[in-house]
Amino acid sequence: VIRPAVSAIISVLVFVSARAAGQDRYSYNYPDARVTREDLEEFITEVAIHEEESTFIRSLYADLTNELKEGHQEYRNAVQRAGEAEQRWRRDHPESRNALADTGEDFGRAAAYYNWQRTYDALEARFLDDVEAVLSGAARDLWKVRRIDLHRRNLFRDMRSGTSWNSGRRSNMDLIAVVHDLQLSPEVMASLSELLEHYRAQMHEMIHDWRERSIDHTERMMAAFVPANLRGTPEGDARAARWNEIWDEWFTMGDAICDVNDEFIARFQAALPEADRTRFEEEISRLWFPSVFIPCPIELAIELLRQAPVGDDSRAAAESIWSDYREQRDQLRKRIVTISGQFETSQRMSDLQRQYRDMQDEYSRTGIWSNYDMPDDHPANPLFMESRRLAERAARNLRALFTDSEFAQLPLSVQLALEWWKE
Amino acid sequence: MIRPRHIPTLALTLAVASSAVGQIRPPYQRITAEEVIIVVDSIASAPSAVDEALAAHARYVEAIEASTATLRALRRWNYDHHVDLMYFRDPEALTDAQSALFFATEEKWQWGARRLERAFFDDLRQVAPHQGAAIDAFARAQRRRNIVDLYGMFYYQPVYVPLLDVVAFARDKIPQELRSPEVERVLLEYELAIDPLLMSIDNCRILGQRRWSRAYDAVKESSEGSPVVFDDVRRQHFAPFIGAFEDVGRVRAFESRALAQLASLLPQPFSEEIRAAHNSHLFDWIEQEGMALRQRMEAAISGDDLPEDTRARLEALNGRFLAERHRAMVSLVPQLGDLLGMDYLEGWYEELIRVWQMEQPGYVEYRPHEILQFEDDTRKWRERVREFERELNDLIGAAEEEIDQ
Repeated sequence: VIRPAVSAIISVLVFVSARAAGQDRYSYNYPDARVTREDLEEFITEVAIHEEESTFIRSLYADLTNELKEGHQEYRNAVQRAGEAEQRWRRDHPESRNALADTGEDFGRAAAYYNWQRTYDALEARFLDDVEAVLSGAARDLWKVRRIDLHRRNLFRDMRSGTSWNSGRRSNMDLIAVVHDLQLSPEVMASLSELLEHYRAQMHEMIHDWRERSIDHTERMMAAFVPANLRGTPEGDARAARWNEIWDEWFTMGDAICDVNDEFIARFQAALPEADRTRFEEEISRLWFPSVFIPCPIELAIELLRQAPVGDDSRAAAESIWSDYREQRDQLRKRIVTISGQFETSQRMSDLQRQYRDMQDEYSRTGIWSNYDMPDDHPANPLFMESRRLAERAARNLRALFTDSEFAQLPLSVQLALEWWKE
Repeated sequence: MIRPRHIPTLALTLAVASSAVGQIRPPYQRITAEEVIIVVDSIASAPSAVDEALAAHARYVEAIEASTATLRALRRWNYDHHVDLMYFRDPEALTDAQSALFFATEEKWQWGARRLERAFFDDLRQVAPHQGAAIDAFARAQRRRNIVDLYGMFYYQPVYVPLLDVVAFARDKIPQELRSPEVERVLLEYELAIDPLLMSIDNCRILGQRRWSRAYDAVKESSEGSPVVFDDVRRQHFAPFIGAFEDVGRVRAFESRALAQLASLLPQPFSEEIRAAHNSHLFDWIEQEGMALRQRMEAAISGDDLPEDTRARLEALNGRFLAERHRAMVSLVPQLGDLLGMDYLEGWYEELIRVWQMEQPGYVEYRPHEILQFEDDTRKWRERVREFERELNDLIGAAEEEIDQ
C-alpha cells in the first residue's frame, strides 16, 4: 500500500544514506550478534585451541544467538503493543496527526528500544568474557586483542549507519584493517607495529566511551524532545536548549574519534614507504567516498560481455571502448575525491548538520518537512552528472556494436547492462 | 535536504520496490526444480527426460539470477553513486534520468523474466513433445502462483488479502477418489477462465510502475489548473489500474463460483469444508493465532491420559472459543469483503490521489475510517484469542500438576 507517510520517507532516507556511506546496517536493528560465526571460526582456526574448548566456545555462541533472538522478539512484541496502543489513541484523537509530535507520547517504543539495546550489550559482553575465561595462555592474550579489534570494527560500522549518529565526518574507517589489507612486506609491518599498537589502544579507549554513552545519549535526547503541547512554555524552552546541548555533545564525541583517526592517517602516511603510501591513500579515498567507487554499468557490461558468446571483432571493440572509458572515469573519480574533500570541511558539515537539526525540529512540531532552502551547491554535483554522461556515452557505443537481432540473442543480464540508459 | 521533488520518487520507490536501492523483491516467483521433477515424472516416459528438463531448468535459473544481479547493481549505481543526502550532494538535473532508469530497467527485467519462462516451457515441450496440454497446465499453474499468491504486491490496495488458487486448494483438500470428472471440469473451467485475466493483471502490473510515476507528474502538473483537468488526466493515466481492479474482481468472482460448484458436487464433510474455505481464506490472514489455538485445543482434547473432568472443561472452553470465533467471522468477514469490494477500492483510490495532489500537508498516512474500524475489530478478536490461550494454558497446567501428583 502506498502510504506517503513522512515517517516512511525518513526511513528510506536513513537507509539510503547508510547505503551511500557503504554500510549495510545498524546492529541494534537486528537480532544478530556483532561478532559473527565467521569471526569466531577464524579465531578458533588461528589459535588452534583444543577440541573441547572450541566446542564449548561454539556452544556459548549458540546460546548468545538464541538469547539475542529471544530479546529481539520481546522488543518486537513491545513495539507491536505500542503500535496497537497508538492505533487506539488515533481512533480517540482523530484531530491529531501524530501523538509523538503533539504530546510526546510514544506508547513505550523508546523504552522498549533502550531495554533491547541494554540487553544486547549485556549479552554480548557476557559472551566475550565467557570466551576469555575459557581460554588460557597465548590464546587468551590473542582473544583480548581480537575482541578489541572486533569492537572497533563493529563500532565504526554502527557509527556510519544513519545520519543521526554522526556529524558527517567521514574519518571512521578501521586503519588496522586497511593496513592489513595492503599485504605489506614483513619488514614494513614490523616498522609499523608500534604505531598499530598505539592506534589500537587509543582508539579503543575512545570508542569504548562512545559506546558506553550511546544509549544514555538517546535516552536523554528522548527526554528532551519538545512536543507541540509544550512549545512556548518554560518547560518546552528548557527542553529545547537541552536538546541542542545533547546533540552538540554527541557530535563532539563522534568528531573526537574522527580527529584521532585523521591524526593516525597522517602518521601512517608518514611511516609508509613511497609505493605503499600511494596504495594506502587510494584505499583511504575509497573508504572515504565509497559511493564514488560503486561499480558502474560499463564495468558490469564488460565483465558480462567477456563471458557472453560474441564475435572476436565485437569483443575487441568492446575492450577498446572499456579502456577509453576507464581512463576518463578514473580521472573523474580523482577530481570528485579531491573536490569533495576540499568542500566537506568540518565547519561546513557542522553548520549543515545544525540546519538539518532545525528542520527536524520543525518537523517534530508540525509533522511537515518544510521546504528549507538547503544548500544545493555541492561542487561535485556537476562531476557526478559528468560521470553519468560518460557512462551513457560508453554504453551507447557498446550497444552499437550489435545489430538488433544480435542484441536479442544476448543474455538478459547483458541486455540490461547495455541498455539501462534507454527508456 | 528533503524537497518536495524527492517525495514522489522516494514514496514510489518504497512502495514499489519495498526498499530504496540495491534490493529487489520482484513480484515474480521462480519455477523450482522440485516442481519440474514432479511434472516431468508424470508426463514423460523416457528416463533421460528428467535430466533434460532439469538442464533446461538450470539454464532458466542461471539466466534469471544473472539478470537479477545486474538489475541490483544498476540500481545501486543509479542511486548511491549520484546522490548522498547526508552530504547534500544531489544533482537535481539527474532526478528524471534516475527515475527513468529505475522504472525502465525494472520493466525490462520483468519482460525478460517472462521471456525466459516461456523459453523454459518451450524446452519442456521439446522434452515431452506429446504432452502439450500438461505443460500448458504447468505454465498456467506458474502464472497463478505468480499473480494469485502475489496479488498483494499491488501497492494501491488499502488492505492485503491474497486471492485463492482454487486448483491448489482442491489438490490439498479433496481426496483423489472424490475428484470426479465433474470436479475436474469445474477446476479446468476456472483455470481457463482466470488465465487471460491473470495475464492482463500481470501486464498491468509490469507496465504500471512506470505509468504510475508518469501519472503522478502529470497529475501534479495539471492540478495547478482546474479540477476538471486533473480528473481527465487521472482517468487517462490510471485507466489501466482501474482495469486491473476490475480484472481482480472478476478473478474473485470466478473463485467464488468454482468453490460453490465444488461444494455442490462433493459429499459431507468436504462440501462444508469447501463452503467454509472462502470465508476462512479471507479470515486466515487476520487469524493466525486463532488457527493455531484451534489446533492446540483439538490436540489437548484428544490427549489419552487426560482426566475426564479436565477433558470436559477443555471441551467447554473449545465450544466457547468456536462460538466466539464464529461470531467474530460473521462480523469481520463481511467488513473485509466490503473493503475488498470494487466500490470501496475505487473510492479509496480516488481519495488517495486527492491526498497526494494536495502536496503538503497532504503527505500524511492515509487510513480511512473503515480500515481503522476493521483493524480495531481485528485487534479485539486477537486479544480474545490470547485470553482463550491463557485459559487453555491454565487448564493444561493444572491437569499436568494433577497427573504428576
